Amino acid sequence: MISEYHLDFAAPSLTTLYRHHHGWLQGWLRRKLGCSEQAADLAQDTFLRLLGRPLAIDQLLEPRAYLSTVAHGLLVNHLRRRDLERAYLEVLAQQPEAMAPSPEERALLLETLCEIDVMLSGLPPKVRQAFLLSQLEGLPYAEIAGRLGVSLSMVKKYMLRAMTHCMGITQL
Amino acid sequence: MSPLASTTDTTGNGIERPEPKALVQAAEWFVLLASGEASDAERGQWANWRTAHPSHEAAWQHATTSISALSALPGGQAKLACTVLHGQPKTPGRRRFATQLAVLLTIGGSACLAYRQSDHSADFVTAVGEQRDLRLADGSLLQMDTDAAVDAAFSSKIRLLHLRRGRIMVETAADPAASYRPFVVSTSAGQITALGTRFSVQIEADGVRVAVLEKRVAVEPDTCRGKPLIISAGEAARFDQRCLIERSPLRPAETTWPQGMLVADDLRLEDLVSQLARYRTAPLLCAPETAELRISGSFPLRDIEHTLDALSKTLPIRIVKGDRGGILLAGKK
Repeated sequence: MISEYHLDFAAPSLTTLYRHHHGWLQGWLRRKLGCSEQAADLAQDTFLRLLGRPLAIDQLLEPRAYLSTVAHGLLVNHLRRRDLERAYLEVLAQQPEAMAPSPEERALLLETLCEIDVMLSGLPPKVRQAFLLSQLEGLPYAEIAGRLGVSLSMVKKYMLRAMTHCMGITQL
Repeated sequence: MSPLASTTDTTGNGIERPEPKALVQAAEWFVLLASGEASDAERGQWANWRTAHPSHEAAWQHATTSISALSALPGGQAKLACTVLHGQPKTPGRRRFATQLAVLLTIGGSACLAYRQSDHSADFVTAVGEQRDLRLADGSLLQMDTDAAVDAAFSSKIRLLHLRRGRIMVETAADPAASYRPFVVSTSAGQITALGTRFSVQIEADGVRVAVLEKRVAVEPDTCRGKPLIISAGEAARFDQRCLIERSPLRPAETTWPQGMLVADDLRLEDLVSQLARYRTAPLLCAPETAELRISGSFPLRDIEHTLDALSKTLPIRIVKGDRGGILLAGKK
C-alpha cells in the first residue's frame, strides 16, 4: 500500500518541493556561481532533472540535502562544460578562418563534445586517449601503441577498459 | 465460468535483457573489430555469435548505442574533437559521485518497475495512457481508464469485479443467468452494488469516488456493511473504509473520459494537469506561478503533448521538457 501511494504522490510532492525550496536553491546556487542568471537556470534544471524520477521517502524528509546534491552534480557539469567550451574556442582560434563552423554547428558540436566527455569521464588519461585515437581518428592499434609509448597488448587492454566503462559494465 | 467473453491480447515488450557475460563478450568483439586486424574468419565468428542468442544481439546493440555520441560528430570535426577532449584533466571524485547518484536513481527506478510488474497478476490491466473496453460474459460493458487494474470473479451467486487501481466505468446488462446475481464492484475501502445502471468507480489517494450516470448504486464502506447509502444519477460520492466523506454533483469530466475526452469547466490549471498527468508515465506538473490559471474546454486524452501545445497557445505558459520526458508548465518569461 505504501508503495502505491508513494507512486501516486510522486508528482504532487515535487510540486511541494518546488514551492518551498525553489527560492532557497536559487540562492544556494547564486552563492556558488556568483551569477543570478546562471543560478536561476541551474535551479530550473535541477527541478527538471527530478521530474523524471520517483522520489524516495528519505529524499522528501531531507529535501534541501537532496536538492543540493542534485544541483551540485549539475553545477559540476556546468563548470566542466565551461572548461570544454574554452578549450574548444582555443582550438578553433588556431584554425584557418575558412573552416570556422556556424554558431549552430558550434553549439551542436559542443553538445556532442560534452556527451563524449561525460561518457569517458573517470577513465585514466591514456585509456581515454587510446579510445579517442581509435574511434575518432581511426588509427590502427599499432600506431596508437607507438604514440602512447605502450605495447600493442596494452592498447587492447585500454580499449576493453574504455568500452566496458562506456557500456556501464563493472570491470571483472 | 470465465467472466470474459472477448478481449484483446496484451503482449509483453519481448526485449531480452542482456546478461553481464554477453555484455563483456560484446565489448571484446568490439575491441577486436575496432583493431582493424580482424580476419574474415573472425568476422564470421562475430556474426555467428550475434545470431546465436537474442541476448547476444541485445548486448551488441547496447555496445554500439553506448558510444553513439561518437558518431554524432560531423565527419570533418573528429580531429578537432580529439584535440579538445585530450587536453581535459579530470576533476577527482566527480565520477564517484556521479556513480553513486546513478546507483541511487537506478534503485528508485527498478523498485518502481517491480511494483508495476506485480500488478500484472490482475485479470485486466491497462498501461499508462491506455484506455480499453471489455465486454464481460453477462453482456455488461467494462471500460478501463489509464493505469487501471481489475480482477473479475463471476460465480452462480454474484458478478464481482475487484478494482485494485485506477478508474473504471461499468454499464451493467440484464443478467442472462436463470437466478438473479447482483453486480458488485469491490475496492479496498468498501463495495458498490449496481442497481441497474451505468457508473464509474475511481481509486483516489484519499478514498474511492463513485459517480452515477444512470439509475442508482448502493455504496457500503467496509466498516458499515449492511447500511448501504444510495447514490442516484447525476450524483457522485467519495468514501473511505469508515464512512461517506462527501456527496457532490457529477463532474463533466466523469462522463466523457470513456470517449477519450477531458471536459473542463473553469478548472484550475493544476487540477487539469493532475488529470492529464495520469495518462503519462513521465511526470507532468505546473510551476506554482501557473497553478491558479483557469481553463475551460474539452481536451483529447489520446495525445497529451498535443493538448499541452494547444494550452500553451491560449494560456501564458511555456512547456519546459526534462531529459526523461518530464514536462513542467512554467510561466512565460
